[in-house]
Amino acid sequence: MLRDRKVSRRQVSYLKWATLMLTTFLVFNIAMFFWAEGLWFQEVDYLSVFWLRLKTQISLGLFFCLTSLGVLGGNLWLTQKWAYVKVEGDRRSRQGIGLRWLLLIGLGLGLLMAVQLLYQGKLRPVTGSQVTPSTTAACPPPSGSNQTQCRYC
Amino acid sequence: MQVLLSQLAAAPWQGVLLLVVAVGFVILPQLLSAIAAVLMSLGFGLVMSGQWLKFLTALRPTLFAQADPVFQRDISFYIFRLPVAELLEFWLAGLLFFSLIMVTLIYLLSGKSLSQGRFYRFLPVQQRHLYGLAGSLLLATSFGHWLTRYQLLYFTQGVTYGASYTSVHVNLPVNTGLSLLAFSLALVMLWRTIFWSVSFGSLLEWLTEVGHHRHAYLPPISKHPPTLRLLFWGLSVYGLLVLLGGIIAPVVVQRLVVQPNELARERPYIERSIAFTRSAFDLDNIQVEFFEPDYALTLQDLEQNSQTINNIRVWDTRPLLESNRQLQQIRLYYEFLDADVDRYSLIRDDGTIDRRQVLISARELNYEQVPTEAKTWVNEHLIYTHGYGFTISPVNTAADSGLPDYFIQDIAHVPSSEVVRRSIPVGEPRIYFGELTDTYVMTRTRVEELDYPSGSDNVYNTYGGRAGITIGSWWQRLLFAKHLNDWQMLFTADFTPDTRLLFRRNIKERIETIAPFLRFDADPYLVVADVDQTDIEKAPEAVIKRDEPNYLYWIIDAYTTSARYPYSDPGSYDFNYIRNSVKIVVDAYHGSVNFYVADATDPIIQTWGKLFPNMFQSLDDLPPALREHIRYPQDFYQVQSDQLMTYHMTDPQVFYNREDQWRAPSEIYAKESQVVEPYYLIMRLPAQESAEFILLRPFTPAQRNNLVAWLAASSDGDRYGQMLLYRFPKQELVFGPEQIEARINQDPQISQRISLWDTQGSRANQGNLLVIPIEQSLLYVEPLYLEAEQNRLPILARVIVVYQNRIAMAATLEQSLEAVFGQNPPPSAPPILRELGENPATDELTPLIDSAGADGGADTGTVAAPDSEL
Repeated sequence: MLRDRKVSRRQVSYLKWATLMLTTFLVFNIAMFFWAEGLWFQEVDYLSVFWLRLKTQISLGLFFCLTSLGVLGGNLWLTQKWAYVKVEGDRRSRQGIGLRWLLLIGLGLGLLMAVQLLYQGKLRPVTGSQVTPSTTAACPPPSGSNQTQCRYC
Repeated sequence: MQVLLSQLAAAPWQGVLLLVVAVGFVILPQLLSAIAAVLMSLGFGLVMSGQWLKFLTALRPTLFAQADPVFQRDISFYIFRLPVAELLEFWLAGLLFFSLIMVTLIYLLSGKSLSQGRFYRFLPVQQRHLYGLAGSLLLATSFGHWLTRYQLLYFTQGVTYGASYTSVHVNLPVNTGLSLLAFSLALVMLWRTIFWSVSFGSLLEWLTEVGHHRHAYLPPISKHPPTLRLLFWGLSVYGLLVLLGGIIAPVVVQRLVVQPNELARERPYIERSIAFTRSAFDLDNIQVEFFEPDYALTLQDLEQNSQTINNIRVWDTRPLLESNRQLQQIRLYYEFLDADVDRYSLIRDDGTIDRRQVLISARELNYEQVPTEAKTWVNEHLIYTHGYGFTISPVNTAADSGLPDYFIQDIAHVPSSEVVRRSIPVGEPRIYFGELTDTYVMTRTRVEELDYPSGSDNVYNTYGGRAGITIGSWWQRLLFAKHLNDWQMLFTADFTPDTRLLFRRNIKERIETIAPFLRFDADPYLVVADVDQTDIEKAPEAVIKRDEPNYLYWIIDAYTTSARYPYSDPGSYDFNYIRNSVKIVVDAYHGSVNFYVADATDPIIQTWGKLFPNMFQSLDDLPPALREHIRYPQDFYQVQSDQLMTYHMTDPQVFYNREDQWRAPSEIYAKESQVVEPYYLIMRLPAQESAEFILLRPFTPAQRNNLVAWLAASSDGDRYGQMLLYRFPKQELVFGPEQIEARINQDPQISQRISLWDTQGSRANQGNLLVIPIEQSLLYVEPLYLEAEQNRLPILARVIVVYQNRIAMAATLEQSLEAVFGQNPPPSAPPILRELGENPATDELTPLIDSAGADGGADTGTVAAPDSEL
């Protein structure tokens, strides 16, 4: 029992070190990237553009990430508090829903979560064409037809 | 949803992955939900930070001073704020929906309900939690319905783009109702979360009790378990409204109310769509004139319009590039990617100025073309650093051999005459920044860079420009070795403390990185101009001794666009508002990038100007030598003219019937049919005093081939940006390009000649057919190139000129023009001349001397000897 705890402590410290090193490596990488980019922007004399972009992106990313984490984490915490620990109920009662429906509903909900998790990026509003740069031609070749495109389908 | 299904159909393994994750959620709901929460949050953070442009513009909107007709809100709300509101709605709805599902699943599976095989019910505290989440989700939904009201301005269900009769009379009230209903339902649910067993009625009763002051202490509030009746009815009504109002009613109204009476019902909406599309694409400022061809051109008229005649383009990009590749490339690592139309002022000996339209083409270095054996690290990054020079060809003449004529040619940049030497500066035309400069290079190293080949040797040099990041010290080298993932940088012995690194040298990549909020013209063009360098540089350190003068600049047009202009029809494009708001100048040697605001009235660029106060300069700050070379951008013109084909119809009835729909004519170019692209000309517009550089495009009616109008956009000086639409009278037939081409091709002798040339080993290619307005007449010119099938080196073989009823084909443009207009054909090269509409029965082999008599001139000898000088 005692030995077990010791091992797990050592494991924890390894894990800590690994996380620390990984984080340092990542942070270092990111810092290097932005530093080099910053030097380039400084050279072309548009450093202020780079700074504003960086500031905006970081604050947007942080705000939405932390708020989302707060909302989801808060809800998870509440479920921990309020979830059934043990069920008080009559085993023979026909109340509630049986296994078949429970599984079906559970799987359905799980599927909804999976879809949202995996396709979140793809489901965002398709209004992206505002002031987005195009890497190739600004304007696609004219098609000749004047039919309006439906962008809501 | 469709996106999702198509994605699944494309990659079925994703379906399996989805199922696995779903089963995972059922087996380990708590743990996996926690992981999913972290991933979702990171995802939201990433998605939102990727949309930083929208958030930034929403902070500093600029008024358009124009309101939409439905909600009376300024258009800036739609351009700047609505996209952000949509993003927030997407985020809130996604987040709350996920929370609701996650919490439901956890409660459902808690208490080992799976192993028990039965789930009994949600505890009251759990129910309160779920009501809270569902209420919040309904709030977000209500917000979504509110936004849908605005999105009706982009609906396409009526006859025109934007909110039509049905949208305004059905969808709008339905969405308002849905929004309010969802909002009240949300309130009911949130009420239950907060007060749970206290119903709204009992609270009212309690308040009245308290109000009567009959008690010494607060009376007890009556509590009873909440009933679901109100919620049930609310949700049912909501569902019914979604189904009836959102899906069925619009279809019914559209079919039964609108369609039987469509024009009367839709007229105000058609008017709106026309007005807003025209202002979003800046078509309002097009001046319309009528052009009545009188066909009274004489040789004197031609002489008076010598500027137009001397600039008729018989060379275009494709044959010129092919010739350049054969004649001017010199070494295999050089490449001419593109040739651009521009105009240059030539200073004649007597001091007068002659404006000439030219094709300018940069000789860039394409490292890809270096032989594989020579592709070493040193070669790539230290030696092959830059392209060298350019060629300039006049567009209207060919050398005696039929090959392109050059004003400036070869590595030595030999000017063709003293006039050219005086007018076009050459300097040291090194191209460190261009369209093909995709490698990063290190300069001022111990290795000398290849400058240009000279005879059998090469000339070497060292970069002396201002660009580059110093990488003298070890940590800078380390930083960029890491950044560029090139560790050889660390170990090379060739670096000096003065070494500089130049990366992101491709001009497109360069400007896209600096200004990701702009969209760019597909065609940057090279300009040779002697600009006082201090003018264009912002930095004071720019004052550097100019021992190596550089005169090469790239000009790139940039646009601000939006897809959120109300009632504006995007046509085939992905935006429905566009302005050519910025012109960008990139120094080909120093790499400096400058942004000049070309359209200060555009609210979007004003907003960016507020966000980046030091980024943009006024167009007046553009050095005059460069300003001479700005041109009306081709992509912008193409977008505008595409929209004009429909939106020149301002009368709702005509528009509704599409009575006057236009199209771009097509032509046969090198045996293939293609749409006539807009082309640049130097010509004098009928209402103007002098010739100017304009962009022109002819239009034909949708179903027919005759010419119906032409649109001209000016580029010079104060008249920059002005557009003129010349319409032909409807009762008169004016030949369109297809008809002219048919007439050329069905002319027995021209056709015979083309077929003869088109036999084994060679090809006769018809070039661009140009419609050229002169005075009150139209002249059609089409070059004919001859090229071998094997080694393509096209020569200008003939120029075909069509005027009214006459077609002439001769070796040069002058000869053709003389044949058409002149009395005496030049004896040296007898042209083919044909009178049309007369003597149709003429034997094709008989020389057309007979018909000459009909023209009145007995001595004309409208000789059409089957030309035998081949």
